[in-house]
Amino acid sequence: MRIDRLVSSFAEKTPSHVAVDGPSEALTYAELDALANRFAHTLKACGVQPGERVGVHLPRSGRAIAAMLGALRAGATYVPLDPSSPPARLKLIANDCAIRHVVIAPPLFANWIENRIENRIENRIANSVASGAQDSVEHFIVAADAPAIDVPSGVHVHAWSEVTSASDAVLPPTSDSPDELAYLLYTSGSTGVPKGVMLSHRNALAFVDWAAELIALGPADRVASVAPFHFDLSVFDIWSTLSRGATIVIVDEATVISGPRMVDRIREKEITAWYSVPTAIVLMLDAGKLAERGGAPSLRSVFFAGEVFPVKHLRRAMETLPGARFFNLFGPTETNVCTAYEVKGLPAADVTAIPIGQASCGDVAAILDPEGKPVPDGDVGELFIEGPTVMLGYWDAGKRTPAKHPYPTGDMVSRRGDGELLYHGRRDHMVKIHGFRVELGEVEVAIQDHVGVREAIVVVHNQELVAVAVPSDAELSVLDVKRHCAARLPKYMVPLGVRLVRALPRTSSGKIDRVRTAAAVRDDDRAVLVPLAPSDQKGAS
Amino acid sequence: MSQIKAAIREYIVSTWLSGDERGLTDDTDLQESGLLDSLTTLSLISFLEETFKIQLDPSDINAESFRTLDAIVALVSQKTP
Repeated sequence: MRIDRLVSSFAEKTPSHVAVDGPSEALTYAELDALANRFAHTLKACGVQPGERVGVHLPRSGRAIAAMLGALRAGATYVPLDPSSPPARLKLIANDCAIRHVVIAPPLFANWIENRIENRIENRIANSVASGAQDSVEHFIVAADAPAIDVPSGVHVHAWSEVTSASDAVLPPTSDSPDELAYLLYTSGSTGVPKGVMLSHRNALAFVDWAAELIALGPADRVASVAPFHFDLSVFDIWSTLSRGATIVIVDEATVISGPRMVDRIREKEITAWYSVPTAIVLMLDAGKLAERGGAPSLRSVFFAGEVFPVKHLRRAMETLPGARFFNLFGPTETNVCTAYEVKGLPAADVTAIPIGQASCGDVAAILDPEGKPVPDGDVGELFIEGPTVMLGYWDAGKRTPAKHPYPTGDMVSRRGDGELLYHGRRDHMVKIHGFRVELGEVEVAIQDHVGVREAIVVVHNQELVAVAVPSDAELSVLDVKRHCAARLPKYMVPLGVRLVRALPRTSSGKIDRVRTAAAVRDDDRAVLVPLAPSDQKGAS
Repeated sequence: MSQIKAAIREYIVSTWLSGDERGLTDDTDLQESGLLDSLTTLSLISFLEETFKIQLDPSDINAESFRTLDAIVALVSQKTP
């Protein structure tokens, strides 16, 4: 089985049932299936070869899902490109996996072209590393009616009418193998460049079917799409839902930032299943006044992942939504979900963390010490995963590297007496900021790329990123550093705090002392981190 | 400078600029500068509601109404009696 075939049977059995609802249009199963075929024919007509990567750079919508399906049906791999990421970072991704074709929304297309023209000018002036070379994209398929824009030579623009007038006939499958690459999800890379996680149809389906069966998902279900499509939580929203003939309800970006609007949406659309980071659920409880507004009686399954759900908030969520089952899902993008825990009771004390559960989706978990030996129950070791959800490998620096088996997750865990796993943090410099995975190295490289910065390090304080930088130019301001980051990194990677200091603490070997820097930020120790005038550096992160 | 503007500016400088106000003008694009994202927008909204005793409707909350210091001042002024 391959994920792009999931839709076809429902297009025949329940053609007029809504597959994707919102934000601005609804697509039935028949319409989604037909649009996917039109995308596939369009992509093939503009030269997509089996095995190529196709970028999907659209806001979350039925059209975006049809474009992913179309890429797969053309024999290609889809790569979701975050609509909120700056073009500079997307170009790194496009070049990394040699994307020649991007399905794109008109405003994002205008940005991309503008950035390309600016970079051509910049490159002539200075051989800047950050702006990089020309990106690899040759064909843009514009996924809505829009006025034509001027484009540089070598760029082919395909208007929306090319898609809508393409054939909706089924294409002959290019392959039946479930072990081929289905999609690439780019995550933060420690060397400063995002890296692609390669997932096959088999990887996706191991989770998709497991999750759908766990909650007995059926055609009557209305599943919220809250997570960005380049984030692996969306694999449930899209593919589990489509695999059972249910309806995806898009909760768009403008709604996701507003508790009251999310509550409106969940109640109006009678959403039955929800998967998000805990932050979004807490937002509905607090700003959205979910309890005061009568909860969400339709909701029967709540999955959360990506960060720790503080027990005091989880308790409120479970009291407010007594008809719902709650599941803590765990796993890096490399294994999608590899452990799961159904929350049936909560510890009496709010300070205790709930477990991440036991191996799921057919995976097997082992907790090993640095020598590779299993640790006794209760001891902390690294979580290793073997099974069908383990990725094919990384697409990184232009080449493919197969995954290690068993896969070392980098997550430190212990096994409780009852078999449930407890999470104890990371082995490396990867952190989670509001559920988003961030490699501190990627942020550091972006800051160090600024000509006015001599050196910089990024630490986490109060669950936010704080950059500590030594300027080489006295004129460098905090605003300069932030603006520079915002042009290179997704918003969640822009440090909330920026400290400009005279020097960074060093270890005896002369390396920047990450531990002492973090402690000095935490304690606002100005003897270690001497602030630079004229900023008074009030320590407000 | 109006009191409203001074208070909002102080909030932006202390919360998002670690106390360094250099370069911040009334028309600095707060999103392009990496100051505003979905989460910092939320804390800004609670700050505005608490400080100025106003209630912002969902329809007030869009990218344009928070794009610059001037835009935020205009939004708050329109809500205060």
